[in-house]
Amino acid sequence: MISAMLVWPAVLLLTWIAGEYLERLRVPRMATYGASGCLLSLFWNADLSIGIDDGFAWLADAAIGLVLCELGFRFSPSWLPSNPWVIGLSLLESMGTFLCVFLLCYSVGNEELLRAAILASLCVATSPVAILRVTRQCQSSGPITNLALNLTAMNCIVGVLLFKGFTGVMIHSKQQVDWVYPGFMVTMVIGSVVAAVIASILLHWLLRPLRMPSEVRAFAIALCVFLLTSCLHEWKLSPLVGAISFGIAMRHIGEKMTGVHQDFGSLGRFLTLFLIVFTSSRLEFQAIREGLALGLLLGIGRLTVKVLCPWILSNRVGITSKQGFLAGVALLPSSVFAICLLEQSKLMGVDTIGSFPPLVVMLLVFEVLGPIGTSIAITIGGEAAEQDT
Amino acid sequence: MIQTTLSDTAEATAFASSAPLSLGVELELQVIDMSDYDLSSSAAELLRHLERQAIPATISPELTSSMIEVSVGIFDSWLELSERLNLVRDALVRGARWCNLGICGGGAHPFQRWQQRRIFDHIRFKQLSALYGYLAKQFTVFGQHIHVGCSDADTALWLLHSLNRYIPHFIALSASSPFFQGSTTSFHSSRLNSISAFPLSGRAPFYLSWDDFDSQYFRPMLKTGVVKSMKDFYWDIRPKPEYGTIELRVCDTPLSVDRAAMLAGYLQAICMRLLEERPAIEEKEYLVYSFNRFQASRFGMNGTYIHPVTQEETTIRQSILNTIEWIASTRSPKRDLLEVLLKTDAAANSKSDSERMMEHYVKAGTFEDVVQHCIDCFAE
Repeated sequence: MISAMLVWPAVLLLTWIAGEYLERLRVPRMATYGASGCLLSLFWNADLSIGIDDGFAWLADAAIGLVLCELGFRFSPSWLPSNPWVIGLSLLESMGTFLCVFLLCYSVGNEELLRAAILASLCVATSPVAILRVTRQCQSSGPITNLALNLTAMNCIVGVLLFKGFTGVMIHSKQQVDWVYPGFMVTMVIGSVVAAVIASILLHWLLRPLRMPSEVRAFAIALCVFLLTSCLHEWKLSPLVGAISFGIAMRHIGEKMTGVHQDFGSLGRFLTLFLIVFTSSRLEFQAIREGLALGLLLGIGRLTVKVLCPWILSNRVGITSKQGFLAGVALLPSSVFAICLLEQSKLMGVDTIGSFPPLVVMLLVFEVLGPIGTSIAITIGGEAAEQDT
Repeated sequence: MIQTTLSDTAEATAFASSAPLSLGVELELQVIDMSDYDLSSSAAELLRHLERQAIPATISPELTSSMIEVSVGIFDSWLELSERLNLVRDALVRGARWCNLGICGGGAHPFQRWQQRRIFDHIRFKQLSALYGYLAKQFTVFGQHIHVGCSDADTALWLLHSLNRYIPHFIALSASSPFFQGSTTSFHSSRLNSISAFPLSGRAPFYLSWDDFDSQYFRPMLKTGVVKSMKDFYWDIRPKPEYGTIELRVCDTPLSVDRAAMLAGYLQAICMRLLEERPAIEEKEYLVYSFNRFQASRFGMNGTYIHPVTQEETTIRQSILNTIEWIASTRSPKRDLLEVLLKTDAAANSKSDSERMMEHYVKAGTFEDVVQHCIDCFAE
């Protein structure tokens, strides 16, 4: 038996090489990484996380934290008062996705109300990793990219809140804990945000006199995100809410997102590769047989809502119908964020996904096809850098 | 009015008459992506949104899809022009915010990469791109064009060439492109270097008679097929026969519309004084033209200035101050003239936009901060 400690570096190297080759054929690297994780899950029967489970989960948390921090940097809260239709669109597509998946799980999948709600909350968020890295890979710029990035930031927040809310209710109902649940939710969100704001102010205050170049500042930000997410994890708050709040706060107090922050250099690229392969490999491929039909139905439902909402409100938010449709397609990637939430929920004693194969199927589909959808949407929308120069 | 159709047919060379010394201004502005402060290829979306607003200006696309051009009409006084520019600026800023975009002046974006630019989807721009290749995308630079009305064609040509000695003033006063493609350039106006790459840039050929210019230069050039219209000349000042104006094109778009209006007023004042005095003009004045132009672009106000007639050496700042004194000695000093002279004097004696941008870069440390500074300056 080959040790998991040897398998992982080899898999990461091979996946990276495959990603570079397929990128020449315009396949997004994120899709290749996702496919690699799925294949690993399919063909490697041994448990690849034996003995290193906690470390890997921490690394995955750190990686998603870094991505969310970057998304927070690129999110423009100041846009929302200027164009309130964007908030409306965000709520419509987030809650529309939630309701659609909830109804399918509840009525077609015969799930309990609470479990259906938890499963549906997992489908709300767009994968920030896929959106950020694919737009970076395409060097895209324009209204589709702009809308997709901002909607992703907002649906990630809504997704976390829904998921934490419903898992909290589940824990509460099962364990009969003595804390008052709504108070806990508010404390969790406010605590995470406050910790993130304090961390951002402290870091900014510490870095300012040093006048460091961008790449060194990016490294300092990355280290701070690791510390923040670890602390929030330890304090039973939300590392995901904390990471995105940290990015927003850093931007608000004057730290600018330079080209170096975008993907955090080699460190960021390594963590992205690891994050996607690791999270994809956590999906149980055997579930495909059991949940194929309903999984595809869930996928179609999610796809329909994600595409329809921006298409319907496109003129209101200031883009054409075609651009609205394409922005919806760009929102399809989902699984990394969902799996990170699940990994965290396992630590809380709730394993929701293991016994619902259709969701696994849907996540697998969007893991590989989602980034391709984003890439195609950006290219058709004319927002990818031209290749003829 | 939003203009999305551009004429690309060969134009007539008859010079229309316009009110002497009337002013018109075009500003090329940067469209900024607020998520990363790079240029955004969103000009079409911004134009579509602005089309629905009642904005008293013509707003049109430019060569690449990260630029828009704003033209505010014709005015007799630079103060009226300033008022209009402020009105239009407010509407533009509101529109840009609605689209999650930033909008700003500055002659060049500090860190954009020309490879990432996209040519705006219009036949004339596509033709230019096909002709000039990568130069077209490198032409994502932002200038202010100032039109001055002329009573007739010969006066226009005389004025055009008489202005040669003041070109460095406008370069230095408007300089706002110290950074280019992610590097500090050590130039105050690096934008002019991008324009110099074009074969039909530089100064206009020396003709003082419109008939001579038309028959000996412009029509033969049309026949060769090298140009299709006056628009194909990227001269520092060019005649605009269909408007009955001359068009000064050397200015970077300043960071604020107030500076843009001041530059227009200063040009109007110089033209007024030139027409009043009617000094003789000879082609040999152009001997020091490129040197002075380079000095202004490289060193701004502190650049060396060699007077084309007396060969006296001074600084560009001092030359501006001398010119202000000369204009002030006019026989008919009006209120708006004196106001523009005061403003120009203050501008010559204070830091230029370019110097402020460089200072901000040293203080804040990133080009993204500089872009934010430009957005703030434009919105103020």
